[in-house]
Amino acid sequence: MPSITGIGWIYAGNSGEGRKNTLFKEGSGKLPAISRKTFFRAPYPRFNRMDEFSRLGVSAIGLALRDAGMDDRTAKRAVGVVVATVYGCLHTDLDYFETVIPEQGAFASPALFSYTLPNCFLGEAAARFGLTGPGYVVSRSDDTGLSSVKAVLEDMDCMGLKTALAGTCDLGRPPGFPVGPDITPGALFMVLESQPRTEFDCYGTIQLNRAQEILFNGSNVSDLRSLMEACLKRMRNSGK
Amino acid sequence: MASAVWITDTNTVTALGQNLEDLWQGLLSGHSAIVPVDRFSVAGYKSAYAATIKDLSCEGALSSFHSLLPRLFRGMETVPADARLYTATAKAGIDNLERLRRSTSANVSDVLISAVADRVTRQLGLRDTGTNISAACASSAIAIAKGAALIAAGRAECVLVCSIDLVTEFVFSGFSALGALSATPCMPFDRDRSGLTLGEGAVALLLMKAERAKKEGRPHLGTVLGWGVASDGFHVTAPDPNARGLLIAVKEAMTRANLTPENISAVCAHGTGTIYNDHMELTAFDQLFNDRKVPIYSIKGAIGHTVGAAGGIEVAVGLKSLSEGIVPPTVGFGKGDARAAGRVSFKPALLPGNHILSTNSGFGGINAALVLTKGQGA
Repeated sequence: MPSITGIGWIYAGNSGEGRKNTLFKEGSGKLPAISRKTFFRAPYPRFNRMDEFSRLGVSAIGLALRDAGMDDRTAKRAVGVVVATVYGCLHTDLDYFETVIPEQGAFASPALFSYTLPNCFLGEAAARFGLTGPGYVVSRSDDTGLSSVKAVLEDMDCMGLKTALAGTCDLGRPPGFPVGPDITPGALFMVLESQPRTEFDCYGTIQLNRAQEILFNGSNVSDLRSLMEACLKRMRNSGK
Repeated sequence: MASAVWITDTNTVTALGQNLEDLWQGLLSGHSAIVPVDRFSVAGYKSAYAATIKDLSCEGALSSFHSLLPRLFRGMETVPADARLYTATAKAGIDNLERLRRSTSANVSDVLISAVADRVTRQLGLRDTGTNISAACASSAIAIAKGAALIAAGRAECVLVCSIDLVTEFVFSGFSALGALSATPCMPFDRDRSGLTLGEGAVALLLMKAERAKKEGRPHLGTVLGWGVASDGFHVTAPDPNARGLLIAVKEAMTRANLTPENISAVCAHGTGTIYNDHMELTAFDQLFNDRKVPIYSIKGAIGHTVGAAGGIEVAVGLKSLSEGIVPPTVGFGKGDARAAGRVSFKPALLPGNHILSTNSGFGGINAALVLTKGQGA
């Protein structure tokens, strides 16, 4: 049965990997500065070229992979990434279009345009961590945060996917943007394995039943936050 | 045992016409819908061309995608209310971000990624509120792969895939800034190709479990036999020159279809007309087919690159190709890249079999491959 083997998150309250920090604090207000040195031990020249959305997403993916013991990048591997988002790269879209308006586009920024698709950071993560599985973005207006987890579990059941990250990444509603839900800025990713490594202590099993409900260790979970809390509680109780 | 996945209905709206038949006839005639852009000023850009839908306009404050969707569904049978919905778009509502920034009246919620799914759900009265798949130029191919996989595994009986993208100044200026636009109408796989030309369009495909389709007396336009999705893990905007991601996706699709490359009758390539994309694809096809001259075509010289909608429109064209037994010409192709010789043609040709491989690749290094087989018709 599929299991959760790694968790990483970055929010205003705190950032962490599930095995090192079992207290998740979403917090409010601004995200911490997403710097390369905070989240990556090795040099990462592309990091500072990315937009903020991509830096957030790639860093949280890195934390989750490290928590799962999968950050050692010696060879490419068939690991997928599915992310749910409400606003995606909208902040970057707005910044980019500000470079288009003057001079009829003559000074449009190619560097910004490269990040005006919400899946671009998945390409950055794939290159950084050697991931060759499917990578795509899901968005639903009624999302409880679990749509990416459902998508990965469906891909495991229906498409033969063995390992993937599922999560959410959002910078929240851009300042001055007049519509849309209030989303706490931050990113959270979980590593799911259809057949977890035998030597590895998992957070628990996860499945998608025919009624489209997510069950963690056999119990129904209603949203991504609840799933995360259940995982961390399981780790706290195990004393590891 | 996996259920067979039929495509029972489809339609397109593109710059070559209001439905799939118009598109098909335009392709066979070698027509190109690529014209000088008059929707916005192109004075600052590297190209003046795109394939735009002539009479497309926004209604009031709504994004133009709202006026395109009713045209798309006008040409289709009723979609069952229990259909799962996947929409696929890269930037469908971005025209309204432009209007917002230019202080023009705009329904700003159209800018949100889930806006197309919301509109389609409301318009068709579906129970599923819909999931939008965003994976750049592979968006709709991935949506089809996911829909087919759900049906094959018995998780759904019916899936509607609906995809749309528009020619906007936002996207046009970006590709211009990247140096990816061709100054002349694009020339896929041509020796002198120099970039892509943008296009716009919409496509809907109804996928259904074969048993249910038979029970409901629905047409069998074709079968989705195989699918594969993979990342390059190479670069965010440049394709892997060794085509590793595309080859993984194609091999997955072949395995699922229980076919070998020898069974493939033609390839509907992504064929954008950029130097790097077409090189990457030819590298993949060289490895896949060795010396066998499998017909390869691209429809982007006729309708431009429709971004997220490209894969879905190409599947719809693939169904016509299979039913008519014709490989459509590659409009814009003239002097072939040496490796395209004997494979790509500016003339239609007979399709020598019943299986088409359709491939797409996009920003983020994402690749998708689909294997289609001929249906039994109405």
